[in-house]
Amino acid sequence: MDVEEIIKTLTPLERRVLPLLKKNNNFNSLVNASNLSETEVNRSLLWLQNKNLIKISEEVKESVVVGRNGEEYLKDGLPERRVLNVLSERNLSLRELTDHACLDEDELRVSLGILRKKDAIEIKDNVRLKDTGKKLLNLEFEEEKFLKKLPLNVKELDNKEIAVLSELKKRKNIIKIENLKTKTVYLTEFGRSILEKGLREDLLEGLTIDLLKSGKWKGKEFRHYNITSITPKIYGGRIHPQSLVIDKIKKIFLNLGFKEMKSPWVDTCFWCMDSMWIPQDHPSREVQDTFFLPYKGDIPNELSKKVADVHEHGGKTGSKGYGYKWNPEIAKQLILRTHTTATTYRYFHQKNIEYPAKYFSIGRVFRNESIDQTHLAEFHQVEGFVMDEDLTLRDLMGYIKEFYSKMGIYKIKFKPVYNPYTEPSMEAYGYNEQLGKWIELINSGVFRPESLEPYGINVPVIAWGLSVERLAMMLYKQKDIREVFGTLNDLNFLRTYNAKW
Amino acid sequence: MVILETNFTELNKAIGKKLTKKELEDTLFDLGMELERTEKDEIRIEITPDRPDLLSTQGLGRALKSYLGIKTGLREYKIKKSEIKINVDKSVEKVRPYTVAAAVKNLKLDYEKIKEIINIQEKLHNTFARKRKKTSIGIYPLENISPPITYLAEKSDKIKFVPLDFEKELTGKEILEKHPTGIKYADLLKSYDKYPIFVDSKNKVLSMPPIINSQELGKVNDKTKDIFIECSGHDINASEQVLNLIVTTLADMGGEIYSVEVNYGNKKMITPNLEPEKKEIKLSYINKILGLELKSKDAIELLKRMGYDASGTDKIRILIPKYRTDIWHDIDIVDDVARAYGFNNMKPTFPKVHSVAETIPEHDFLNRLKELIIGLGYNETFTFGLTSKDDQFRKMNTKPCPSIELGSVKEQTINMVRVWLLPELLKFLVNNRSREYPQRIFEVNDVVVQDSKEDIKSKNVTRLCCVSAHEKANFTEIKQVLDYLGQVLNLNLRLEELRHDSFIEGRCASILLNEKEIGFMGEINPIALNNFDLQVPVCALELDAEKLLG
Repeated sequence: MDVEEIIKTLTPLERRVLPLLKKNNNFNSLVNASNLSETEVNRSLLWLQNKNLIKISEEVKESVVVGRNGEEYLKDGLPERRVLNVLSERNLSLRELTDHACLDEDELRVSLGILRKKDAIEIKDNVRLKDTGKKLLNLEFEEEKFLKKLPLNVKELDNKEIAVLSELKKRKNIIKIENLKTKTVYLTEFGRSILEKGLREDLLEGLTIDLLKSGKWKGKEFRHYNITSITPKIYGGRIHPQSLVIDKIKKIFLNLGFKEMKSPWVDTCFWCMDSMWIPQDHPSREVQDTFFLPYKGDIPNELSKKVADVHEHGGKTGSKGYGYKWNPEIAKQLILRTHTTATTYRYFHQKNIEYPAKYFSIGRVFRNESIDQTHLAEFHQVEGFVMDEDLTLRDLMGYIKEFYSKMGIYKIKFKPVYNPYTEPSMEAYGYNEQLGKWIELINSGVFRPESLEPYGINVPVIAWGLSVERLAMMLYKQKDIREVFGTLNDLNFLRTYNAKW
Repeated sequence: MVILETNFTELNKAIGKKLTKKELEDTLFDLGMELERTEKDEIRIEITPDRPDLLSTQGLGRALKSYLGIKTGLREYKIKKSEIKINVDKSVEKVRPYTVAAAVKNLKLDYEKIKEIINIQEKLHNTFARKRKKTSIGIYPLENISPPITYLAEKSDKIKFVPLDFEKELTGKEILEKHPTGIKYADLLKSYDKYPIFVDSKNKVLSMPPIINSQELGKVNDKTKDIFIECSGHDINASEQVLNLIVTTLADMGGEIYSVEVNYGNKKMITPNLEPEKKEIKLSYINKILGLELKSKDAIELLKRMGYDASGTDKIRILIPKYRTDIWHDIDIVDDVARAYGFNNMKPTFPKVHSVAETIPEHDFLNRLKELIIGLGYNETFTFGLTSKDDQFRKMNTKPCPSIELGSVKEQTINMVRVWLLPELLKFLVNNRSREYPQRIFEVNDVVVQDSKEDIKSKNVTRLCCVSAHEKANFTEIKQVLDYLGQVLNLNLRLEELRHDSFIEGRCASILLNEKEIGFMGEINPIALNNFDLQVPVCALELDAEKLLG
């Protein structure tokens, strides 16, 4: 930038400091001369340096600085000065002297020694001021001059100062020697040329209502800002990244014409297991995986009979059934739902769904797990089902492919699996380009006839479920599940997570 | 998860073809299994849990041999007749009523094979037999037994024998107290006064099912050639199925199967019965479910590759091997056809199913509510629903209220479902103490409260909680949030002074909508802040969000 342009950008602080640099190169003297705070001077120096108007050199120097007692003496006067002053009124005994001058014995002893050396006092019965002492009343001691000049660079002391320093060193905490950082500021050639050109005082600092009303801004220029300087950060209120994923999933389902479902977190084993033909002795019913609550709920009477039927001997489906006696008491047990298929079966029963039908739900499910990098005791499950005549396994594959293509995942493969309530069943794996490997995404299947008969459904129902967290981890490239959902989230992530994926 | 640990060379021998590990991995994947780990010759395979017949090297080898087309169709197992009889005494009826048995002869056992048999036995016990509840398996050297055998129940202190791997004679009762296996499965017998035992004609004890064999008659070693097997339990079907699984595996190891006569007094059974089950399935049903157009010839070939015998045209007659315990319905056959065809060989189709999209109106409203709060600069949080009484009540300086308590839990920090959101949002603040202030967070989410009118004795309630934490957080700030909501949602809101120990006295209000209380707000009590170890003033509001919808 040329000289003119630079001049337009100078802030009031910079304009105040810059001219002072012609005479003051030392930081401290600059602060004194500017009448600004240290921070303000520092800030303006930084700006000036960024514009190449000045150079700042920092040096560590061995320096004499004021000590703890020294600071006090600078305020109240040196002990010998205080003694001198009280003696100017009248002669005093030693004891009177201590009281009047407000000194401890030690300080008094030292002061008397110094004053005697200066030939200022005489000690007999009383202490008396001599003529030299009287003259000294209006003269500054060398020690006092020295203290006021501090801090001083040890190497730059003259002989007189060295003598004073060695005297003061003997006394307690008046001065100390420290390594001080000293900042020296020089104008650059460019800085000098700016000053020669002259700083403009006619620039407007900002637009105000008054200026606007009066029109005084007309014909004037505004100070130019340094538009690249760093500004303090702000954060906006944001939706949780997990909610964003949920909303996205929801949109996909709605666009495909699905209807939304919901059901409670607490549910009976009946709705979570028995209703969908999970046998009553199935391993997933064991305490180690499921939160069993110390309560029992109610189960629907008529439906229970039909469910018992399919469990015991397959009802009219042609299935063998499990060949045991179905126990309603086991079904009444309340648990925290382990999957959202309970929601689907509640809808089968309560909503009298007629095909063709497409439904989805997104809800929280629970597993009795210890929390770590890949496990939470609760997470979110998405479930969708389609009910219609003539639906096939290939249609289920089609829905899964369609669903994931909307998530940007195009390479899908299927693996047959066992689910107690679907047959055939399969997992879908998506190819993660970044990780270069297949990742399990979805569990799915065709609902078994035994699981549909109690609801009077005799057309195929295809269904699939997936974990929101797993998808969120993939989308936000998080390796730790605790980062994408839960009380342990980092606020920094919630404030700054990548808004596009 | 059910795992088969086996040996790669042995498995290839059972398959009858040298597969590479990659070929094995892909084949297993297509059949729904997973090659978990391989270390030189040792391999670990995750078996699909509905197929206990794949839990042995022989069983898995048999299935893969068919699937790969090396030897397809039904395996025939010949059963010879033995002279062995078991008499079942009425006394077992109440304890463990059923038993079935078989003998397998001319086995060439070595240490490895014995280990494998014990492994299969253990895995079947833990999975299919539901930890020995449904049925349990006993295997004995046939040589030492003097038939006929009697299955009876005897007073627990009258039973006396030396259990396997022990030197001293123990009573039945002592076995449950002292023997490691007895201790592990004690619950299965403890409540009875009589325990079941097998004894031979010389009155020597074979075993006390489902716990332990006797050291004298029940220890198989590498010199054993002929063995006796019984499965006994509460479920006769399961017992027969497990016996079938074991004897077919042993026959695949080279043994010859012999039947045993089991006398129930009024009823006589000859076991094992390996007569294949007959089923008829329509070709159209297979094609309808899978969306394929298979010809009967194709379907038959696919079925044979899954170990069935199949014939016919529109109606396909199938013979199902007895070791298949997972066939309840025609749909299970269809699934096997799909596996043989290959899921990844099917082309996905996207059907036209007409239906109109529909959201839950409350969810739409709650989303709008969230947008309003976000507009005020608040960050949404998504906290856990499971929490502790300590966090929900003690730290909040309030008395406990009724809540849904958890039974036994693995995660030690939780014991209930939350009844309000505020403590969870304070915990979020605790976890983020090092982050920049002001911190303004909110959540719209569910809590669960008790409700005896509901079938589940509780109900979900969606609440809104807003929390602001910084040096100057105060009542005015949080009241502004409420006023803003009141204005833009057109609500008839009023505040009333409230004593709530989680808040500073005189700086807490209950929120009334149309004169009904829906929540509360105020400055958080420093006692609560101290309890959470928060060193910053916090103001908050919490209310029943769905009530705002009216």
